[in-house]
Amino acid sequence: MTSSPQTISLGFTNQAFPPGVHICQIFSSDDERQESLLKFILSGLQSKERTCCFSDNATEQAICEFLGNYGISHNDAIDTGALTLAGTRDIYFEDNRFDPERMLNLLTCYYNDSVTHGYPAARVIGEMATEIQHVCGGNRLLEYESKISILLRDHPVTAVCQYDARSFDGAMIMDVLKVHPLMIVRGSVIHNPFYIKPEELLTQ
Amino acid sequence: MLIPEILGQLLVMQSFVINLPDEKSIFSFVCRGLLDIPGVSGVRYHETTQNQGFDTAELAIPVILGEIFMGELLFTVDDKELFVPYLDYLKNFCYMLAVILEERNQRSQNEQLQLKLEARVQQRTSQLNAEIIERKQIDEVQSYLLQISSVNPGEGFFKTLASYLAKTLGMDYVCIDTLHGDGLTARTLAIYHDGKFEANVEYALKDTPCGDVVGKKVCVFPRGVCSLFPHDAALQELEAESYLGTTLWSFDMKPIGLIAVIGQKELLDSHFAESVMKLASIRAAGELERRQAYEDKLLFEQQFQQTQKLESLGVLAGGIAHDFNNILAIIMGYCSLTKMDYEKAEKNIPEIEKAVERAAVLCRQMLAYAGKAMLTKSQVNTWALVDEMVGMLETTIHKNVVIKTELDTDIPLITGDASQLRQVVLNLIMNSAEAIGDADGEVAVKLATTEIIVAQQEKDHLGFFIPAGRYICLEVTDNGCGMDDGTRRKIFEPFYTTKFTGRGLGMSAVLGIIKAHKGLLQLESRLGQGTTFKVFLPVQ
Repeated sequence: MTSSPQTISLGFTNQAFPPGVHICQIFSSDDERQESLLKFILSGLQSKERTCCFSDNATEQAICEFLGNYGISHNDAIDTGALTLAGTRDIYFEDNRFDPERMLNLLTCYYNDSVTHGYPAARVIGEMATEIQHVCGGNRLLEYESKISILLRDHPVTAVCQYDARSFDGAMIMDVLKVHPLMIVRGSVIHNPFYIKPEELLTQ
Repeated sequence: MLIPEILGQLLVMQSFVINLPDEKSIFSFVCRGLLDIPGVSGVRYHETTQNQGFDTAELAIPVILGEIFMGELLFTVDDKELFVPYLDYLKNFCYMLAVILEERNQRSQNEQLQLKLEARVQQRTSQLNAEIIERKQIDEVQSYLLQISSVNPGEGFFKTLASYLAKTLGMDYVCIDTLHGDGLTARTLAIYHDGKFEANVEYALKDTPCGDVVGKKVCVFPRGVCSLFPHDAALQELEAESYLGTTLWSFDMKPIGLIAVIGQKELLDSHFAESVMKLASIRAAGELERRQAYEDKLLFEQQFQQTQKLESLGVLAGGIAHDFNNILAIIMGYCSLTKMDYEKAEKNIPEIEKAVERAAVLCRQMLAYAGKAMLTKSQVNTWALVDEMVGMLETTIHKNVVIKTELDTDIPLITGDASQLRQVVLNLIMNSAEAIGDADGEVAVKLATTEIIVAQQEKDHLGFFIPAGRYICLEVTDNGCGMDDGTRRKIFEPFYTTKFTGRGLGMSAVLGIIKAHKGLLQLESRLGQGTTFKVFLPVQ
């Protein structure tokens, strides 16, 4: 990786953050989800960052059209490896089970690979699917999110985790918030007052 | 001792709950978040009051906005000392929750109202679209009905209408009836079933759905018509399911007929079918009335002709009786004289012979009228005949009448009775001269050969078409008094006369002679303007 930028733009807010932040976005409409996702991808590609998106709800065509409006070729980005698009279920639930270790390993590899290919930074936006509540290993979600926070300290991939408020119970949403140091409230990224440090949570 | 992070959590929760989709999710979220408040071991939400106070293990903080009570948060407090400092903040937090919930309720109600409104708009739009489509279909039906009215008069109209209704309404059987017997029976004008027309029948309306139709604008049985009329054999045979009938009304709103359509399936769109049937019934009623008026007219004309015939026969018989009686009276008179004085009988014989001769002339004229006179046929030069007669008549008619001639000399000979044809010329010219009366006038006599090329080109005095062919045409025109309609109708009847001294046999004899020569005659006359007779004699 070339020298890492001191701050990065998330695209959907004017605020600047150091690479490797772990942000939770709880959205309640498709437009809200789509806007954050597209702007996050655009911002990453414009900054030459390696960008990855796991979503079952953002179509490749929509992403292609959006990027095209800003003069970015979606095909080129895919071909060069600057952009990776994948479905949530395909990535998270291999063999119909959720394996936090596998996911953490993937994220580690993604970061290392980005470094190898000289990207200035790497970013990931992923929407968690509701099936997490039912698949084998799904009960380790909070553990997984906490471990990501730890992993990002050494592998500073900027990560935005999207959760659909319409699909998850309120208590679950609160639990998810507690494992993200940053959260988006009314379009602004704020420090999460509910945040429980991973070491503390993992001890619990 | 207040922990700032806890206060921050309360603020964030207030801002954040807006993202959550419903009340359940909000309180689930909030109850989990409030567990971080010191001294609290449990939080739950209840929609009704539990009337908990400080003295109990659970503390209730109402979620209330003005007088609107929404529920209350019940805190299980283990350490009051730690908890109490947050009480005011929590009350405020619950108030904010109430505001948010109320706003959400209002929004939800508005959304529901909007959804209802949109649904109603959509429903009305669908109705309007359906109405537009139906209106268009109705317009098409109307145009078609107008078209068949003008193109297919009479029975053809009813057949065309029956097949059209079957196709348009998707029905299996259509009949169009006229009512008879004080509306107790119906006679079909057209029956269309299974793609073809059936023979017309007469049937009793009792116990049939058609009996229910009479007197009503529309009568609909969308389903189960068979079971409603178990005694209607035709319905049972058809295995009818649906029925729609409409009355045909006369101009003065009396039922004169009906249209019935029958289907073997349920009638789903009776509204459209009713509209079509109403239109069809108006057209059919108009056509039925027109047809009945035409039949009435024919009947009236037949009756009128019969009356005229009887009247003519009466005049004829009276005339013959009168003339013969006069002649017989003369003969009887001279016979009586002879009986009284046989020596002078010889001088009576010529008078008796004269009377007999008059009777013979009368008989000839009658035979001529009847077209049964014996014709002494020869090749006749009509130009010479007319020219000769004109020359003779010029010396005998009144001096105030001038005869003008326009006679073609190149006239083909015809086969006929010259003496009888002379009588025709004589009678026509004399009649014309007498029509002029005492005033100055003119009788124009024309003779020409004419060709009637197309049948139906010319009509005779009775309105029948003159057959195509070559004719000698004798035309006699005067500018005399002309004839009124009554005179024109009766002029050829025997013993009809407008003259004081006439016997009324001249023109009837003319017509009889022309008929005997297979000829035809035209008559044009206007009262006060004159008369034209045209005689057409066929060239063999």
